Amino acid sequence: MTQSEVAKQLIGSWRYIGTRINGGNWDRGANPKGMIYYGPHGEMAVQIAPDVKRTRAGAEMTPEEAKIALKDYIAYFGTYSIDEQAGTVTHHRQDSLQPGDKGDLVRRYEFAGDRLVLRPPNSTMEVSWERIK
Amino acid sequence: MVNESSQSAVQRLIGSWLYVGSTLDGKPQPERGASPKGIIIYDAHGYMACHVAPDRDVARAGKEPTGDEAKAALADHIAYFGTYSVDERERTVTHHRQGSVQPGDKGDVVRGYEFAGDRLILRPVGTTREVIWERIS
Repeated sequence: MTQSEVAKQLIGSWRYIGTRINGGNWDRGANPKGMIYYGPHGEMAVQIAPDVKRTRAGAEMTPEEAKIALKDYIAYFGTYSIDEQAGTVTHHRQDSLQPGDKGDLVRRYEFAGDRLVLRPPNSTMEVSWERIK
Repeated sequence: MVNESSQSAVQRLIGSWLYVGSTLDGKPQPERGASPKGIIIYDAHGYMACHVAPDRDVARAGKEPTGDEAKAALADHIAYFGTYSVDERERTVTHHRQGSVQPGDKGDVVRGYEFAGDRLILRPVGTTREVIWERIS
């Protein structure tokens, strides 16, 4: 597989910096953590964990504990493809943690130094990442 | 081409691996359904991520999942990430988790590792459980 220049730039792991929408910060708590990975064989995975306490009092979680733990936690993986003309990367998801979450996601990409900014089309949302190296 | 045996365990771990299955006492574990999916990633800079999904459709009736829907979505679902370190003498890899979706999950997990061709077998220490992975190449 010949890798495009964009693929070469994308490949690797990126640390979550934050999400902005309508010019403000998307609230995932004080110190959310996350990682997105683009592999050399077309595989990808992402996780973003909001900064909340995910506790479990008993041996089995209660519905309320489950709801808190799951809220806004992003975890999905699959493959990806790049459309250089459109400037987009599409995440073809094989699984997502969130119930009812299915199908492909398209993101416009922008590289700025060590940063990667991903933007869902037709949205004011932008998700910023920093290259892990 | 580097001889595999001359590569360090870290070099062999680096990359992405697809979930094949889990066994307990040598027996396949049915709790994740017929065709569970998953991936584990070890990157070149000491970061890792793991995601294993049961073969089960979990619906969401409204905009936000209810408590029961959330509980169903989390059952047997593994999703965590962080850094990793390898102890070649002990043949273990430790996952230092920075985030995990499972409520009550904390701290490090230690796994014995074994390479077998294109496969990686991870064994939670002190258990008879095996988690089998196949290299994405």
